[in-house]
Amino acid sequence: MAISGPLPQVKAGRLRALAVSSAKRIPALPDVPTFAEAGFPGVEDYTWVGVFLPAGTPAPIAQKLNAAVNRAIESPDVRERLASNAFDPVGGSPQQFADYVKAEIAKWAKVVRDTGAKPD
Amino acid sequence: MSRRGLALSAGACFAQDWPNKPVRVIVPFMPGGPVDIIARIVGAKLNDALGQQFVVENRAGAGGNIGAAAVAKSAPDGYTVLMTSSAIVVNASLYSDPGYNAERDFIAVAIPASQPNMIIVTASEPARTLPELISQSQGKKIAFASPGSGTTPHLTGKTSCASSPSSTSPRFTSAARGRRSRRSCRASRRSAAWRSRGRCRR
Repeated sequence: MAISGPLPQVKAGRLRALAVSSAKRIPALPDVPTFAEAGFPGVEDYTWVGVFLPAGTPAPIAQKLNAAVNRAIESPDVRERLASNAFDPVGGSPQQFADYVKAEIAKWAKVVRDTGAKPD
Repeated sequence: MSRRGLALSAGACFAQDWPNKPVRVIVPFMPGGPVDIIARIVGAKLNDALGQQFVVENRAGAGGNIGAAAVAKSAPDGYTVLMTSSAIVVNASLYSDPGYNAERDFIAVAIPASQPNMIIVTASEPARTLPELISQSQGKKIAFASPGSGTTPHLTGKTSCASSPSSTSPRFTSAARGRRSRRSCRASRRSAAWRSRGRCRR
């Protein structure tokens, strides 16, 4: 599961988290080990939220929107609301995000191949 | 000035004015989900910072593909934005034709937030750790729930099903090493709050 949905039930003890897929333990669940700590090195998966524009949109618009999103996630009230939903702020340039998207497509293509996952 | 020069300067002026009317933010998932929540938190800040309304519009369906395909086909004028999850990179290979090309049809603009996935069990489950869960489930079926096909939790779950000695996946092989049990995974068609349910035979 992504974390935000069941987090309250985990904190209340109705559900038990066995591992989180981040590189480090998360502040919301400091006692839950990472996959690496639980004996599964190499599992580092994230559910992320990204902003995209249709291809062909003028680059200055993408830059302006990128800067506005990065400013938004710097503000303390947004950080607080992200944290209460168990999200971490990320940010970065459009190029960094484009490189990440490319790497993620390659990573998950391999996982889909290896697991034989199919849509519902 | 050449025609190209004119077009470039027109684009620059156009971009300088942006946004001068409300911007549609397409969220290809249901209201109240994680992407919707983040879109509304960030969207409200964009309203303030850029002086125009960023209006969230939920267009759910097909694991996020319907809304993403709609944005891919929208005018590239900055007034239609897609705010989606990592499902967009999974769907690139999970679906034979998601209705768009995740790299070619979009400009990747910004990544406001992320969170890890986790494996959770009910409090009554005897396994206290992930290795215990795996060892106690030998030869049994395990049902798992995820937020839906194409989400990274769906595949984190699927990868744990695939942890057999013969698997080529390096992700879970350390725990699987030395075990000889037969395992198979399938996703069953169920519609519930957790839309994707999987089942593994270990």
